Amino acid sequence: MPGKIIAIALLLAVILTGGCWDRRELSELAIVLGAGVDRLPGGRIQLTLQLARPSAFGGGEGGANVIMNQNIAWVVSATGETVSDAQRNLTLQVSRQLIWTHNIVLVFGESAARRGVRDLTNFFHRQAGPRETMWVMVAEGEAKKVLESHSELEKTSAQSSGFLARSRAGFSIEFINFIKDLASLGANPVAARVKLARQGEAQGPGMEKKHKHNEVVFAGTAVFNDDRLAGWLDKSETRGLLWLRGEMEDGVITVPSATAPGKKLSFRITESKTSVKPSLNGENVSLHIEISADVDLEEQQSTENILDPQAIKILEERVAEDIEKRCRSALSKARDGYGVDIFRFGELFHRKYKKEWQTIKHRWNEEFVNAEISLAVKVHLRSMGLQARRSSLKK
Amino acid sequence: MPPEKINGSQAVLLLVITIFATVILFLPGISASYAGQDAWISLLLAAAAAAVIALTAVSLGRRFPEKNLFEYLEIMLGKIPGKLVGVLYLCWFLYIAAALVREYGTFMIPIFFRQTPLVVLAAAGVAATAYAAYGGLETLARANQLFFPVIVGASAVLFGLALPQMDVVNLLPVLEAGPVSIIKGSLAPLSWFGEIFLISVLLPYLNRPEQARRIALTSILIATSIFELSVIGVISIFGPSVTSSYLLAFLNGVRMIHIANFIERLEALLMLIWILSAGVKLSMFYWATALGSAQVMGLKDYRPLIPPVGAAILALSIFNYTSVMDLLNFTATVWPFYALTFELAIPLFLLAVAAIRKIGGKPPCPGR
Amino acid sequence: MFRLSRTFPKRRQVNSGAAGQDTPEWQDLGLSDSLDKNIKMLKDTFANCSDIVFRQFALAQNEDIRLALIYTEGLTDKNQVGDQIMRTLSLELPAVISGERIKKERALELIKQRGLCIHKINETNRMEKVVDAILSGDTVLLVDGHATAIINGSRGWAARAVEDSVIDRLVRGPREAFVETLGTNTSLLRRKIKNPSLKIETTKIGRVTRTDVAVAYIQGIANPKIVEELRRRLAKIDIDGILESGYIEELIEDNPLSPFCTINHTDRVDKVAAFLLEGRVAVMVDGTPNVMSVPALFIELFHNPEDYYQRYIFSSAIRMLRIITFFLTLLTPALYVAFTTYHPELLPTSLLLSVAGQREAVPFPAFVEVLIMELTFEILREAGIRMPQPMGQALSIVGALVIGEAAVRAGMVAPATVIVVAVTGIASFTFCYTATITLRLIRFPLLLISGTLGLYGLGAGLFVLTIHVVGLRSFGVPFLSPLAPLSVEGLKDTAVRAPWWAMFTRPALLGGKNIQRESPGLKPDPPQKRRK
Repeated sequence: MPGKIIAIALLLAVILTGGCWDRRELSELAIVLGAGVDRLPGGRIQLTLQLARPSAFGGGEGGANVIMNQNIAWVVSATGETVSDAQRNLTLQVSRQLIWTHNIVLVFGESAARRGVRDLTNFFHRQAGPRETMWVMVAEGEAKKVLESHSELEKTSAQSSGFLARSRAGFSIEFINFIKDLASLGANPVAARVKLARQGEAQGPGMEKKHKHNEVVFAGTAVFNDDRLAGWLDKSETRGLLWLRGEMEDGVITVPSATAPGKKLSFRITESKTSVKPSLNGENVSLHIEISADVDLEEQQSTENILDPQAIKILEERVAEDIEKRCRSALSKARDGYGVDIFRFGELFHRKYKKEWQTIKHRWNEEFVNAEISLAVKVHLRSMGLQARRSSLKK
Repeated sequence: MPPEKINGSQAVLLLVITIFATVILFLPGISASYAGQDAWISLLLAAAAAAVIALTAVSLGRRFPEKNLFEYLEIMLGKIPGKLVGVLYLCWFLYIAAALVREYGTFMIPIFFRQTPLVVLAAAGVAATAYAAYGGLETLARANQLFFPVIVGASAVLFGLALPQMDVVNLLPVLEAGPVSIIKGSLAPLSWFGEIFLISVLLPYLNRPEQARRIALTSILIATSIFELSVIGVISIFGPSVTSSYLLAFLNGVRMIHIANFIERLEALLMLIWILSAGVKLSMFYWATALGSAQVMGLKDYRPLIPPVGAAILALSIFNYTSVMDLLNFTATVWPFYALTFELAIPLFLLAVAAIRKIGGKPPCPGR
Repeated sequence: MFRLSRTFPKRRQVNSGAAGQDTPEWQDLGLSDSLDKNIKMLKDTFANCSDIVFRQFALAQNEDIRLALIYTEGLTDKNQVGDQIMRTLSLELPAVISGERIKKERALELIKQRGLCIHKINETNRMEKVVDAILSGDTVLLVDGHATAIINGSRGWAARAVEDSVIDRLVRGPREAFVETLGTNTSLLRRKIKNPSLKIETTKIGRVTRTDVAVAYIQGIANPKIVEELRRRLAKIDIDGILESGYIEELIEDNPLSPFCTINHTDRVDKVAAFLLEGRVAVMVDGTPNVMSVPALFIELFHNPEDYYQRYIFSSAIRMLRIITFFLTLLTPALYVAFTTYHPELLPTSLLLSVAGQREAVPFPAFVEVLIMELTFEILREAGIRMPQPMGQALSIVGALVIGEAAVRAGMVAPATVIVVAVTGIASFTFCYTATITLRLIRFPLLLISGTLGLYGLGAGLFVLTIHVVGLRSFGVPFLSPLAPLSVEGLKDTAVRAPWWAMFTRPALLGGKNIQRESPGLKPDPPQKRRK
């Protein structure tokens, strides 16, 4: 009996008094909300982190007062030879332990993107901290500037960028999908393009001084050739990109009216479906893309009768034309401008023609540029809001 | 020691969780590195081969009713050689137990506990399962009846929540990997599935031994269904190349769950599944090792042997492998052959010997 | 070098029968013929007991036949002693019966047949029984010339009236609870089960206190093995005194080292009656309203008699709620500590930032903070119970709120911790008291281990806890049935309560062979309206 007691006591001692190595109080943590990677001219990597200041977030009395007055986040940067190295140098500045698990955005600076991102992504993929669901963006200019910006509506710019990405208004991609595209021979990565722009006006007297900053804005897409930044797509081409990748979730299409020139109608996209059929005849690759979309009428400047089937048909055709135009512009930019397949068509081809893929997979971009692409868009108008006809017309 | 009896469904649940614990860690990383998106076919092959192992073990065991592996080894091979082979089997069991402790410790650490020394996690685990081994098989079987719905239910919930992230096209094109690669990818799962060989220690404790064959096959069936779903799930989330790069693909799959901006970060649930299933498996092998040691040494009760076996497991788990890479290398390349020797080669040999020399009781009749 | 042998001395042999002092002499004696001798024996035994009354008088006015009444003042109903014994024997019994004067030799017979008007009499010639009877409140009648004493049942003392239960309150249900008098308790039980198969066996336990202990069971429903085992264990008890059923509980329970109670106890009559109907055995102890019943099952932590009186849908919902609160009580502090200290990555970002903000100001680590608050809450709770009644309620509520608020304001604890502790505490009140004490106990080791090893430790702790609970047995019945081993019939009364028309059998493992409880087809099926 005494032996048993001693044994249990020793066991407990080993387990309990060891010191609880991983016990980290929340007040010892520095929570990383946003990360940015730049390449400096010498080749060194600059890592910028946006850290949350928890006292600004504390519930109840603490939180309410500080929003307008203090910095809510703290931005630090350091350089190093690898991302890890830079992080190590950062810990010399940061008094707490960095915790990556709540990181929302990963921003690559233009310089880093042009030099190639493959060297930079391994840190974020291999570690357990950064999550696969964080958003990847490429900044015009320096990633550091983007992270140093503030947000008026949200508490931090990282959160604001994250919410913008999540709403999928422009193009957004999560880290894991970015990696998948990077790893695949049948696709090239794309990422959201962000820049800083002045938004909104100061509210009330005395606030002008505070409102001097720029905010993060989504401005299109960054196109990569393998892991190097090749160029940009603007907003309209980005829509085409979304259509072709089948990721269009929400959007508005504006077309001119058939009956009243100069007046426009706007349609909201409710559902969209893209199907791409690759085919091979001999050595030539051809792709047939079918896009079908359901739209709702959102706004009508003209006065035509929406209930008339003829009018509906005309409008549907016009919307389809608009969609096709955007797709073609994206396609031409990708093919003629940059020469890369950013639509994952290669993977679709791979799935269908697995034998032939083995021979052409290393030159898929060329095949893509030379492929015959046919596009067919069908649009269906579903509903028109609360009004069957215009009410404000004078009779 | 009073005879403990467990019924058929308890045995099935025990065996399923025993296989589950290791497989859910590694799958489908290793298979995907050989077979790409066809890893699910590798798994089916492994399951089929495992059925062979199971039937061999059952046929062998049924020739010696009321006797478990260590006892009939002595009967078949004579006292000294029998004990020797028994000791070899004990070493193999110890290896499995130590490997399990090491795996869980090593994978828990970089993800959840970055600085805790392995010995602490391992000691806590071994101590907890020592308590279970003291309780005996019946207690463990009953506790498992409680754990099983939790484990499988939680897995099902995670699978369901991950559905929106899955894109089945990632499984195409099918059969892109050649048959050789697919077979290579099935070796590692086979060695894990083959741990159903444990049934040869359980046979005397079944309260209806004639159900043994059905129990073994049902366990394999249930385990395979669970794993197929998870393999297909993980590959359809990540695609073949990313999946094969991951060490713990299931963990990464769970990290992808993101619903309604609110349901996310569910790794805690996965940790619960891991802890419970590893606990059950470790307890089973701990118990089997203690029992086997007692029988080889001729002792009546295995309980006094529990502390030394625990110490052995703890020590082995730390010293057997020098690093995670060592563990992974060993598991991917050496372990399949090591395990298959004990799971398949030796039993088949014994079965042949028994059939030729007509040792043992009536061979079990086919069917129920 | 410290000597272990000093810390753990070898167990010394304890004399058996050392419960109390040596066996008194009067245990083995018998009565004698002579009244004086008997009275002397009794007076010696009851030396310095001023409340034992010796009353000598003559039978039927005949001075030759002397009688003596011995009783305890305060334990007897004086009217019975006066009216029904003394009056009848001295005044109303005729001196001459059938033309003869009463002779000494026939005195005893006559008294028994024609003399006493008392409702219950016994005879004995053992001194032990005489002493027991006197001390139990009966009146002992000694007749000169006879070595037999007549014990008249004349008990009556100041006792508490039958009131509502203190620890187990219901909204819908009977409001009768047991009292301290064994006789009243058995009668309350008889009122519920009017069947001669309800057997009540009484023994005396305790060398000094000689407390009456009654074992009640329904023959034909209760498992005879359990009854036998219970009798065996009760017979083995050798202790000086039994003041409460808790003494017996600790002496007969299956798992003395486990924090879980494997013996139910309650003071509700309907609960005990329901247990008996399920095949359990009840143990009633004189002097306490708490009645024990064996075997006990784990799922009874979640059961409340009211579940059976309200409709099944509501009861099932409330039971699910109780199961949720069970996990809340057990796990909330441990989870809070584990998540904030070891696994911040598992919290949603906004929650993490909010909690982190709160914890900025707090000087203690989360584990210490939660421990302090939990202990404070426990102190408040205990104080609330022991406080004099009027102040008790106010103190616990005010204390909890004020202390919590003040602590937050002072920056000593985070508001989140106060919430966690409050939730845990309130959740623990949904159970009956026995369950609560178990849960309160187990909460702390789980908190400790999760503060050390995070979720891994918590998982391992729950694993060990489950293994422990699964291995418990209560009088041979697995503690966790009907969950493990699984019994589908039994599941009808676990997390949910199946309607009464669906509960066909009694819990199979508890009872013996007779498990059919009701006939099938009892679902109420009112006739549909007929249209003409």
